[in-house]
Amino acid sequence: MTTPVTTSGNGQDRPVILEARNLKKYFPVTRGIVLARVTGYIKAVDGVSFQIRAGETLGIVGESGCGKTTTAKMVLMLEQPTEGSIYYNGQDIYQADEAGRKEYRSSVQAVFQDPWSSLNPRMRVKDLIAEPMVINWQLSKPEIRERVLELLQEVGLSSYHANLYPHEFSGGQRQRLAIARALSLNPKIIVLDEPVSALDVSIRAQIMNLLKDLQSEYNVSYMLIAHHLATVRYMCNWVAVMYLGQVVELAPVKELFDNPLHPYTKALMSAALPSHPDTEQEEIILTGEVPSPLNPPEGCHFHPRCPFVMDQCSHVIPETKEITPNHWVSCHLY
Amino acid sequence: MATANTSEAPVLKVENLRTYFRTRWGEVKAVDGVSFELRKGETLGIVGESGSGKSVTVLSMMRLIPIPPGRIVEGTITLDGEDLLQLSESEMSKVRGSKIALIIQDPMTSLNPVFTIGNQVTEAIRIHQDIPKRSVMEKALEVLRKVNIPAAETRIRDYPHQLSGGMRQRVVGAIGISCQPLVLIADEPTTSLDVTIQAQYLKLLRDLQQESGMSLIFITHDFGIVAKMCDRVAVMYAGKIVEEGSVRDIFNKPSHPYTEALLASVPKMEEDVDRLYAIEGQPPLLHDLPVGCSFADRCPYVMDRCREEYPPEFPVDEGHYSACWRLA
Repeated sequence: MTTPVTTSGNGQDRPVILEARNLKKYFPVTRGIVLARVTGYIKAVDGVSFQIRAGETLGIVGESGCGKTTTAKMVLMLEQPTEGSIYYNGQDIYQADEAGRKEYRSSVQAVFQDPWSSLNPRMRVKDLIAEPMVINWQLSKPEIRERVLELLQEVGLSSYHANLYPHEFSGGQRQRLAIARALSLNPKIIVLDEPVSALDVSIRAQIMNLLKDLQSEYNVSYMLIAHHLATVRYMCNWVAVMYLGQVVELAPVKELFDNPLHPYTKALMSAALPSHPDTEQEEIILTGEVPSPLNPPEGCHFHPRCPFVMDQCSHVIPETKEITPNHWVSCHLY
Repeated sequence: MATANTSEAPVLKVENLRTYFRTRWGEVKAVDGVSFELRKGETLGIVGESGSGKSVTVLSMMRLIPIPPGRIVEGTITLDGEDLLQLSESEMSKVRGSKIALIIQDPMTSLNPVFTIGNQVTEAIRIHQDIPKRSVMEKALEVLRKVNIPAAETRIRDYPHQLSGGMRQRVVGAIGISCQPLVLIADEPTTSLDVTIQAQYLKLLRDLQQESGMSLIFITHDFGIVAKMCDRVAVMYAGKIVEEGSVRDIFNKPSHPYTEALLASVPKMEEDVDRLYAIEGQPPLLHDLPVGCSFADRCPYVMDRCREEYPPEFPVDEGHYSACWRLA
């Protein structure tokens, strides 16, 4: 399947800083220990393309097992793609030399879901935040200390917090620490993997507002992985909907929410919980569950659960089409 | 089952429930004077953040509080005319599972990994229902079909790890409804499920409720679940119910500043919001509660009186109460 390679010719004038083209990641499934044979592949990510623009947020939505985390890992260079490439400022990062890779790695940072496990409990806050700078930058100790205090301030914590350990903080504060650490190298892109879903409701808004403030201050781009659609609507400029390793729909956020096209996107939206008891919702209850990526259905991967399934869906892979400017969808209905 | 209730008399009535825990930081008042009623066929949502006491309320109702360090200091929990807190442990175990059942958040830990699904579903039936041995399996199959487990005949021999998360949660649901309880409590039943599976599960619970007329209590932090499922809502903060009312009252006319702030801080899918309202600060520590209203430190409308005395419940409308001095 081919997903959009470019989303050119739009009204957006922000430069593209990261582009993924036809990314694939297959994990071999082996049988036997000594003479291991590959018996199949789990197609975790199967031809995904998207762009991230400077100072904007791309949201990736999908259920567990749709490949959103594997995609994020490839962007973070924690996983080598089986096929496809990632261009950062026009340069293929997997073809870059050692220095180029190092530079890329320091300009792409991550904040993970669970601030209880993403911060080393044995390090003081000042060392946690300083660690990326110690590794990547030649700074003197007073310079690092100054920057740590500045970052703490930036994420809404105080300088006395620098000497504490992570367990002395609440969940929301820990997520602030994780954000400070991710910001320390002045990254261009931060991958946010479900950054608020482990937090209490009254704390989520604080963190989402903080992320938005930091974005406008530093002009940093976010790649936000989330399953909560309202969060995506609030945070993102672009949204990609993934299903079984493929992007089924990609559009600017307002367009996607006002005019969802793919049946899976529609089902996701109707499954999302209403914000008011009187909200009218179309009830599309999908039957069954997401099939195994080891043996995805032929044709359109979504066809066994699709309420609008047609004959060709079970054997012809739908092409990705640009229905209206910037609104890409892969479905035989269009 | 003695269901002599008219639709007016409450099935479950909790009055002035206080559950405290002894910790090394002092006495923690996890539930501190909680009262509510539940009518037949009604769905009550108990909303709150972690540490608000919603789960301890539930565990107190099931009499599953570990004693020590916990203890139920006072209160009554009247289910079907019986005060559960006066029952002996063996009497309580007859009630638990048959008249009041609990579905907890994580189906991975609530099912025993070394027993088959069939084994675990039949357990509740064998204990609570006096039916011949050979029809126990039949009954188990029937409840598994009720919760839409496909190919229940083969699934009944599976172990929990062979099922997906959504199916496991449905098995837990099957155990919960197997003895037709009067009250089914669901403690964050869908937080570990994907959205489309969550929608399936909520629909299932609603169908089961309509069929059997049982009452449901949803424990959740998500106002979306409340909006979709509940008739009435109780909002908890720091061990107390701060506002209670019908679901429309709560959404249209939130009267406690905490409810108002919580509702405003949730992003909405239907509209663009430029900036979310964020509640400043953190919930208070339960072993070190402030004098007066526990929300005072985070409240935008705080008055002197709030820091001196805890507000009583003031009526807002019929069946709508809020504990806030602004209503005095």
